[in-house]
Amino acid sequence: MEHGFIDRYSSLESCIHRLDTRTRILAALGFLAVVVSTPPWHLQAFVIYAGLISWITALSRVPLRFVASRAALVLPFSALVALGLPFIGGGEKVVFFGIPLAVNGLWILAGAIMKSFLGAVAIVLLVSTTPFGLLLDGLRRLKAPALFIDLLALTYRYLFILVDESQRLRRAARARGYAPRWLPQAVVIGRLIGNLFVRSYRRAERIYNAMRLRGYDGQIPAAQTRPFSLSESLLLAVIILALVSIRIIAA
Amino acid sequence: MHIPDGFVSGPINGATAVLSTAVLAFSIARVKQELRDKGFAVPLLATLAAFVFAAQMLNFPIGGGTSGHFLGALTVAALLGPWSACIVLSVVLVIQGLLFGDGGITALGSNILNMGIIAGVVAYPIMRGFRALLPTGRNGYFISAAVASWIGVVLASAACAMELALSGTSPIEIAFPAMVGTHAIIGIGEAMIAVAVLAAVATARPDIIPAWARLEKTPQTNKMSKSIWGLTGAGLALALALALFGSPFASKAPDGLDKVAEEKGFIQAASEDKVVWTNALFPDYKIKSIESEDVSTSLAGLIGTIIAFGFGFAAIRLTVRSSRQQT
Repeated sequence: MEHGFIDRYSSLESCIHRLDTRTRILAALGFLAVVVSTPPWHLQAFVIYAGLISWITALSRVPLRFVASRAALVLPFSALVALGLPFIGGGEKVVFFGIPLAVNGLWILAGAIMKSFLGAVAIVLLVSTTPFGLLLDGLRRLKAPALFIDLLALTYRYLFILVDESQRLRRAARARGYAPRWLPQAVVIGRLIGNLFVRSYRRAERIYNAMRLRGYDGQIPAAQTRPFSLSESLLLAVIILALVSIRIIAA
Repeated sequence: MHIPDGFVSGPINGATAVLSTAVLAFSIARVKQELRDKGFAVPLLATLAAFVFAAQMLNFPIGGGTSGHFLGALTVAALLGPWSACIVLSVVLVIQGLLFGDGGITALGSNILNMGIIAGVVAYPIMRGFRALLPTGRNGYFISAAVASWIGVVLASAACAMELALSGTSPIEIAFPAMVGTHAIIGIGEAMIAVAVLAAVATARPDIIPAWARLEKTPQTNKMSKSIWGLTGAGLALALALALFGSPFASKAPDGLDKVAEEKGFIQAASEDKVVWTNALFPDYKIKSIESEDVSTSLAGLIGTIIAFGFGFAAIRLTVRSSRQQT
């Protein structure tokens, strides 16, 4: 699995990339909270959110097309869950090409699509402006439990190796003519996953031995903490204030 | 089953986030306790999170050109215990949400609750229950893992449907049958894979399975109390499953007493204007605010079963305690 694509643009040079990681994390979370809590019929608010996040994307020099296409990956799921809504449910109806659609359902559908897309854009932008290691460091400095952060870091380290391993197992099965069509044939996938588990466990043992040889005693040393500068806190306050005021004024 | 941002309302997000954070914090504290004598936990849990992630990418067919994927919560719980499973699944969900756009960040609480806590922490005691009930040995172990995997996946999908319905995103009479229906089938795949994984581990590395050595070597001491707990767990699981899936199919005809009452004419005595307790929790085994009759009956049955179990348990405990004090 090629994994360069995930944080491909995270080492660009821009004013967004230069911010403290914590500012970016908190701003993204604030954006998410405000977007998700906006009722769908305040369309103008969503237009402003979209404009704001596009402007920040432009500032960060991450290609807008990349961000949009990565974020669009959530849309099939959104559609799957909410697409039926306009056809059912009561209340007011509008007739569209001869099909009666429930207004209420249409709003919920539109809201779910806009919110899930804008949320995904914010997360893609956060990840594209922050190498994953720094992102974890930021979370650690925001007082996330150290054990959980260590686990995320090590998981990220071995994720792509194990995904590659699983793809090799699947390729080997395909090469032997495995082309499953119905559920009972899933047994083969089960055996592949069982094999993958045993390999993963052995790998974990080797990793642990290597870590112990290098002095691991149950704690992964963290980098030095830098204090949150005054200008960063001011910037963050301005961002949150702006988001909240858009939310209130548009409503 | 990964819920994106914007599908779950604020209150539900808040409630599930608080619940998931609490369980996750407890899990971390529990695993840390074990960590003191076993630093192996960090690389092991991380590698297994990567394993679960990779295994979830191996889709299996469920027929008609659609496919499902492995969840892995119960399998990890069977091998490393429920608290480790909760942590592993949470790590997987955070990475999927942050890096792969699979599941929203604001919906993380709901996703961890469904896939980590319900499918892992809640399903694990069900597996223990069945294990104690079934004959000991390989087959009993595998069957209980299979059943608990299936129940875990189905309960997780039911919880997912409930969250979407309570948020007003998807009406329950659509979300519930759709989610539970598909996951009743995906759950079969999950059960098959769980058994295959446990079988592979039992063959290649039996030392990994904590229960394995105990199962095969030590003589069964305290077997009596264990089998009672098992019987209780399995019975409760069966009752819940019956309530959840069986109650909509229950006879719609009035039951014996109602019928007699109707014939003898004293049904009027119990007609609505004279019923004292009009605010019964579930009049006619239905929850008022939910429109679909089947779903409403299912949920009422589920909650009713749990309450009945609670009352029965409390009553028996009190009786036993007072009779003990007398002797």
